[in-house]
Amino acid sequence: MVNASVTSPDPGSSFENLRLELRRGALVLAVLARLKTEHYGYALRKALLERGMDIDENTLYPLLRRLETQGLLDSEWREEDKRPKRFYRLSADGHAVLARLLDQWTELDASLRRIIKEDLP
Amino acid sequence: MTLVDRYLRAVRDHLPRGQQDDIINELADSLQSRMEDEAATRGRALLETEEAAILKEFGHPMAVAARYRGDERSVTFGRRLIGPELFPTYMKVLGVNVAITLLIAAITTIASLSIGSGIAGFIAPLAIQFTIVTGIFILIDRRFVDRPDGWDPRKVASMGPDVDVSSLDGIAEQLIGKAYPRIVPITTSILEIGLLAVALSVTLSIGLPQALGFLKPGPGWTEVYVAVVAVIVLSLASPILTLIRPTWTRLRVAAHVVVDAAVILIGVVSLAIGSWVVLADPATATAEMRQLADLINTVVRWSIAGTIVLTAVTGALELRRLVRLNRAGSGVGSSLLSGG
Repeated sequence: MVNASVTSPDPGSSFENLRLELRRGALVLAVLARLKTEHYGYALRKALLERGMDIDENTLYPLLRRLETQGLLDSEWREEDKRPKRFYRLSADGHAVLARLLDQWTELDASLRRIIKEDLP
Repeated sequence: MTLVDRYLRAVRDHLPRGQQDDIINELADSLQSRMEDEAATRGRALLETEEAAILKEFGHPMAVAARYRGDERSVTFGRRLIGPELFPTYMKVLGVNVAITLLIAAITTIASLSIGSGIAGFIAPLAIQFTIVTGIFILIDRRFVDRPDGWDPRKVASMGPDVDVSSLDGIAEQLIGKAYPRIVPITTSILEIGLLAVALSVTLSIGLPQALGFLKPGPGWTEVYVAVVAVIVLSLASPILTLIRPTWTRLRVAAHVVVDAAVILIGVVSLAIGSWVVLADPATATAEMRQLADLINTVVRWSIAGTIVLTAVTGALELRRLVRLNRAGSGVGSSLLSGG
């Protein structure tokens, strides 16, 4: 098995890869922040979409499971509208991690703004 | 079964055991909620084409399941050959096929009491299995990459928990477990193709030579040779069909019954003719040569008789299964193509 790439860089796909990379961390932050309030998957997706953060189901649900495995979320199955739904909320660890991540985000944002400002003519 | 049920069942086929119910329940709720929202927006129930469009947007069952596995392993050689969506299935199919091939090789080695011939005997089948399995998965992956939208949710096929292909399924199911129902028929189909390819190459290589040392093929072989080749080629159709249309259970079982009947018929005809090897030159043959020819013919006679009995048993089981499938299918007027 060989894992190597000989394909020439395509500006379009490079941008797409970088965009996804940039978005990945932001999505985690958005999901954790939104789950200070309890949501089930579909409602969470809609809530994020209403706030300009479009995330497809195939990204959101595996992400929720991963965050739960890491102990950042708690979940429970409950019936609502005559259907079982899995409700997620931030765990105690999740609250602590979110606070630290938000600090990091603020620092990064401030640094980035300074860097971009310096480069502007 | 609704379109959504069938779709979710297909996703389930590719999910790891232990997480299937949890993930499927969550996806089911998400899909249902989305369809209800869409229906509310339109002010009417969704048409099947509209449901299919939502499922298509949701993604191919294999791609959806792959996101949950979090397994990014793939086969690449300069470029992607087998992506992470197919990789776990590829490894399982390859692993089981290699295991069964090695098992057969070990039995052959013990039976022939020759390690040399045993090793020589399994290198070719092993290479054939590896090439066929990898080749098929590369082709499937190419289709997946070239046409990510080239699938129709209305034609999504789930193997379901009760689909089988042949008696090999039992062995594969024991090795793989029932958690991956789709992998079992893929494994056994590719294994069957490999074994039949070996059988065909051996049959064609024996061919109809004029003489092999002091022996030459007798009428018990030469008279049925063309029929044997035809049956092996016919047998190849069934596993190939399984790979293309995995849910056409009844047609597949019917094909097995036909092949089994043909094998029995050829066996009986061959037994009736007898003499699978004869002396190339009886006038100059020694007593030892005659004894060896007799011994070979006796071994072949009993081998054919044993094959007829075994094939009759498996054929009867397949026939019983076909009758049951037809009975189950006749109530809803389904065709020979539908599954059990």
